[in-house]
This record gives sequence, structure tokens and C-alpha cells, in this order.
Amino acid sequence: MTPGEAYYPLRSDAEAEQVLRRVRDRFASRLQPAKEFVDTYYDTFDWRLYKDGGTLTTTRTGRHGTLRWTGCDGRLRHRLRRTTMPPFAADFPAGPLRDDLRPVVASRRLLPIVRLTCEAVEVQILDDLDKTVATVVREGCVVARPEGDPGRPLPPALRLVPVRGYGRAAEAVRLLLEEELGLAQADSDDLARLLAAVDRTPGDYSAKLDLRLDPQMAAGDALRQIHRRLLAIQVANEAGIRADLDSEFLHDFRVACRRARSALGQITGVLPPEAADHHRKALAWLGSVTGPVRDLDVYLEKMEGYRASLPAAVRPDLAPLEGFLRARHGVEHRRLVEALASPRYRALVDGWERVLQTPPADPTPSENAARPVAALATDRTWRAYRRVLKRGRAIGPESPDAALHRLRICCKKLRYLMELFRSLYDPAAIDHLIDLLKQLQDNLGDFNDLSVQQETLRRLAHEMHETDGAPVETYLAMGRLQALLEERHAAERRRFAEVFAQFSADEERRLFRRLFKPTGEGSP
Amino acid sequence: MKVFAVYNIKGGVGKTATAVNLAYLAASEGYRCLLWDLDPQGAATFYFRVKPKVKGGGRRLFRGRSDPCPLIRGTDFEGLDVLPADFSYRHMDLAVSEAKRPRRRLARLLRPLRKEYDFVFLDCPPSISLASEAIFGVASALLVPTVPTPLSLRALKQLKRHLKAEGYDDLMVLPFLCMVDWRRSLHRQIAGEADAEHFLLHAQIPYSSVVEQMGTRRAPLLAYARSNPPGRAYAALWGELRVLLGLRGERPAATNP
Repeated sequence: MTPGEAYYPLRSDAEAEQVLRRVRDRFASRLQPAKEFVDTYYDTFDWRLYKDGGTLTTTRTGRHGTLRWTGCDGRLRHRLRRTTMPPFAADFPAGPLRDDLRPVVASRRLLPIVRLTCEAVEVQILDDLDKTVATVVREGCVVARPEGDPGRPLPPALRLVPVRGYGRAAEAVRLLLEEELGLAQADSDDLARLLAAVDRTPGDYSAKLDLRLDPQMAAGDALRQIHRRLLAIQVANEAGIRADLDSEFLHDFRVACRRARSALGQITGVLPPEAADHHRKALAWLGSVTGPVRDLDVYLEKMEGYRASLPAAVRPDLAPLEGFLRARHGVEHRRLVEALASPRYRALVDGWERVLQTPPADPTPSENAARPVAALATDRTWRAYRRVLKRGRAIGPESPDAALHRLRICCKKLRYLMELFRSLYDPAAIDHLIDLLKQLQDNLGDFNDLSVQQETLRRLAHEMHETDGAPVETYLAMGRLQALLEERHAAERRRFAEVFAQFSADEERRLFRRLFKPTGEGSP
Repeated sequence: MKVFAVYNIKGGVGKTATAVNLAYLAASEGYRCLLWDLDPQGAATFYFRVKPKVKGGGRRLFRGRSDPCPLIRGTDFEGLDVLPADFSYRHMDLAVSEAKRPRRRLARLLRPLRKEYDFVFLDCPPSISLASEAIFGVASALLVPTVPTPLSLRALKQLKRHLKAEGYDDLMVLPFLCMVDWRRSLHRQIAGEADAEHFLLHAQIPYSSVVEQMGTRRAPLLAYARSNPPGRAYAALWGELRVLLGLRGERPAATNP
């Protein structure tokens, strides 16, 4: 699609022929031989390109291919000569396209979303210098889902493509088509039309909660709604995890599980206690079976940074470590796929679905189910916030690492509550507080990560030594890495006091109080 | 966005053919390219069958009243646009000198194009003038087609001396041999000397009537004769530039489908 392009669906091939004849009678033109091409549209699972307002496509014509990234205004952002789409932004050749694509799609895989097979006849409209000033294309297309779909034909159509700087010529053709021949333009958004033809909705997956809760809603109904959404996110990511498409599938899956588990632990007395307790334990199991692959994902993602932090001469020495991690990843991934195919996992999903669908038989089955959700949410969030403040204030320069670890867990619980019930509060205020909490969590998270990474590095060195072994240089490089991690660990520890002071500043405390303090309680 | 200025103090050394073919090659690899025809003769514009009319003239463009975007014309080749020449460009020196801070003026004209193009090729008028000062100010690299004759080498030396005196130390100057006729002993001798004295790109564009046919075909040479010696030489030249720019990976397609 180029800016100013017009698309005209027609009734039949005969009509298309007739219109083309009229165009050729009116304007000096050149008929190009018919050509076939296949357009494939790509996006990430969570529609990052669509949300960014663009389309990424490959067009194959015989042996040749062109990859295009078009902006929302139809203007070409980038173009490459190639027939296939690289799986990840990092796999693109160095250049402006890769530089622009990386921040948009990050580490997500580019997946085909819809495929269009077309036969096109092109009529070039010429000026007195034989220069092409507009193009009219007759298209006969079949649209299909990318995987094993025979597809369905679209009605024959004409496309009017203007050439930049020759708007008047395109306008003359448009007048002929619309005023004299009575053709009507259809929506020029190709992707929307194609997705509609294969019954897909752009943006049909997001890891965001996107809930709109009513403050007066009974807590039981609200919690069911929250858990249904979390379960939907979890299930939507299963296929991507199984196929190992990218590491974000597992990440989103685990976040959904953790949020659900945290909600079950912190908001009791709302859902049937036995079922809730059972599911909480099941989620703990799921956390433990998905953990090893996630840890390896994180480690592999960090490899680039690790390499960069070492002197250039030492960098290649880390290759055996990376190979070891990849091999381990393969083994752990197979285990994870088995777990997801197990009856235990199926029972977890099906059983929980049943609990969430069933309306409570007894109108007051649990003590909190009938309470308005806003009151319950405010109460629980306030409690979690006070716990964070209390633990944080108790931490001094001499406190053990374990104290920061405990604070990190409390922060997580608070964060989940704030996010689950976000829609009940003033969005500007709660988003500000979530950001504030995030800064504290980043500090605590990095502190914990750096300690875990050191531990893991030591463990990996032992495991490598016990299995096939690695060159001494690799262990030396891992040792240097260990020292660097130790240094950064200490730096994060020093930063904590400052970050926490920011979090617990008077003004921020007032805002927390305004949002979450239930009436009739003392100030923190 | 990188700006290549194809420039020589001397005229008739193959500047336009270089700018046209390099822009074509870059576009055929998928880069979004603009060829800005700054030469009042408008040869580059002519090769793409575009009519040389800039509304208000180049003078208006340089004095700050025009945005170049509406003047841009699409060529018959995807990804390659032209900003056409106009005869009033012959007043460009005057216009540039009238503009406040002439060096900045060209940079400001290029600014709205930054998001739209990966490469801009400037087909520059010959001679050293205020306009060329403006060009030196915006170019990322100066491509200098050089015919292996004593006068051409003298012009190259003059240019280098001038750039040094005016403080364009960061400007990458990339001379290469052009219109080389290996049957002539003078060309052979001078080519050897030039290589010893200057940093020359390896690619050498041979003298060929196929290049001259661009005037009758009105298309880039590579669009109709890719595999003959000058076509291969331009491809080699672009290949060298790509390495200098740190672009790798994509091989140019055999034809423009």
C-alpha cells in the first residue's frame, strides 16, 4: 500500500476487463505481463507491529522477494530484497531496518498471520515522456491463514497506485473510475480486510489484564472475572511454549500463574476455599515445572551483555558456557512440554475453568464473596503496603541480604494487588504509584538477580566440570564474570537506601493513603 | 540518513552516471533513496524522464520558503525518488549567499527527509562555490569521480587542499577512477600514479559507450545492462561503499521484479 492508494472491489472478471479497457482507451498506457505473487503478513503474537501502526510483509514473485515495512500512513518505512522473513529482529542484516525494528518487537518472534496469493495485471499510465505516472492493477486473490488453509477467494478488484509527485494523473484516473464508471472505493486498509476474511481480529491477544471492574460489584464476581482473564492468558500461551517460538510465551504464562496464585493467597474467603486452596497448590507445582526453562531463557538473554562486559580477547571463551546452556535448555524444554501434556496439567486447567464458570450455589458461600470488591481491594492493598513500609524501614546498612529478599516478595504481592484492581482507582494516581513501586522492585529485583546469577554461575561451572568439561579459559572467563556480578550486586545494595527513601517520601505516602486507606485506621 | 555528494571541480567526469547508478543500486537492495539533482544541466532528472520544474525555482528552495517534499517525484523504480533540477539552480550560488548561514540552509532542507530516506545522493554542479560549501557541510561522504588525466588529478589535489584549509576534516573524501580507457597509455600511467598518491577506492569505472546509452534509453545503466563491465564496476563501487558504511548481508537482486 502506498499513500493515496485506492482499492475497488468488482463484481466479476468481466467487469474488471471492461474497466481496464476503458482506462486504456482514455490514457496512454503500457500493459505489463500478468504476474503472480504471494504476500505474507507478519506480526508478533501480541501484535506489536499492529499496535505500532504498521505492517510487515514479504512479497514473493517467482524467485524474487521483497520485504516491506509500511507505516500507518501507507508510506514505506523500510524495504529489503529477500524472500523470507527472519525469525527475530536480531536476525536482520545490520542496517536502518534492524535498528528501527528492534525497539518495536524486542525479542518476540515474527509470525505469519495471513497469506495472500494473487494474480495481478498491471497497466502503467504514461505521460508524454513515457514516464509512469500512475498504475492500475487488476487483482485476483486468495486469502488464507498461514497454516494449512486452502483459503477463500476475494472478489476481483482494481487498485489505483499513484506515483509520488504525479497526483494529478492519479486523480484523472480516479475520476474516470468513480465518476464515469461508478466504481466505489473500499477501505484501503489491506490488513484489516484480509484479517476479517480469515476471521481474525487484530490485537486479539495481550498480556495486559485490561479489566474494567465496577467498585460495587460483589468481590466473588470480580475475582471470578479476574481469574478467568488470567487463565485465558495462561492458555493462550501454551502453543507458543510448546513450539518454543520465543521466550515471552513462557514469561507471560508464568506471570499469569503468579498473579493468580498471589490473588488466591492474599484474597481469601471469596472463592470456594477448598477449590482455591487446591488451585493455589497446583499453581505452585506449575511454577516449579516452568522455572528451569525460564531461568535458562533469562541466562541466554543475558549472554550478550555478559560477553560485552568482558574484554574482547576473553569473549570467545564464553562460547562453551552458551553451548552448555542451550543443550540444557533443550532438555528442560522437552520436560516442560511433557508436563503441559500431562493429565495433571489438563486437570488443573479444566478443573479451574469449571470453578470459575459455576455460579455460587449458595449466595454467601464464603465470608468475603458478597462484599463490594472496591472495599475488599482497598483493604488488602493497604495491608500489603503497610507491610512493605514496615519491612523497608527496618532495613539498615547492616541488615542481611535475606531481609531485602523478604521485602522483595512483599513488594511483589503489593504490585499484583495494585495491578489486578487497577481499574477501580484514579488511573493517573495508581499508575504513578505503580511506577514508584516498580523502581523499588527494579532495585530489589536486580539485587536478587545478581546474587542468583552468581550462585547459578558457580553451579553451572560444577555441572560443566562434571559432564563433558570445558577449556580452562572458559572457567577463567566465568570467574571474571563472577567478580563483575559481585561488584554490581554491592552497588545495588548501596543504592537501596536512596530508592526506598523515594518510595516512602511524605508525598507518596499521602497518595497511597488517599487511594487505599480504609476509613478509621491510623496512618502508617 | 546518509548523504553522499558526488562531486568534482571539473565537469564531464561521470558524476551524474555515478549518482544515478549508485542510487539505483542502493534502491534495488531495498534502501529508500533520493537523488537530488543539484546540477543546473539536469542530466540526472533527464535520465529518469522527469520534467525539470521546481516550483518557484531553486532560489526559493534555498531562501527558506519551500519544503522540498512536495517537489519530490517518484521514478519508475521502487524506492528511488528524484528531486528534479531546475535551470534556476544556476542562480544557486546567489541564492545560497543570500540565505543566512548558507551551510545550515541545505541541512535544514534535508531535515524533513531524514525519516523518509536511508540515502540521499547529491548530484553536484562542478566548480568550487558557495553552493559546494553548503554541500560539504551536509555530506557524510564526498565521492569524487576522477578521470586519469593530469588535469583531473590536479583538480583532486586542489579539492583536498581546499577542504583542509576550510576545516572539513571529518568529511570522508572518496576518490575513484572513472572513464578509464585501458587502451590509452596515458590512462594506464596516470592510474598507477594516482593510486600511489591518493587513497582511491578499488572500483574503476571503465570508459564505455554503454554508459553513454543512458541518454537514449533514459534509464540507469544497471536497469538495462547489469552484467557488462561498467555495470559490474558500479556494483563493485557500491559494494565498497557498503563495506565502508558497515552494511552487510543483503545481496542485490539480479533484476528489479
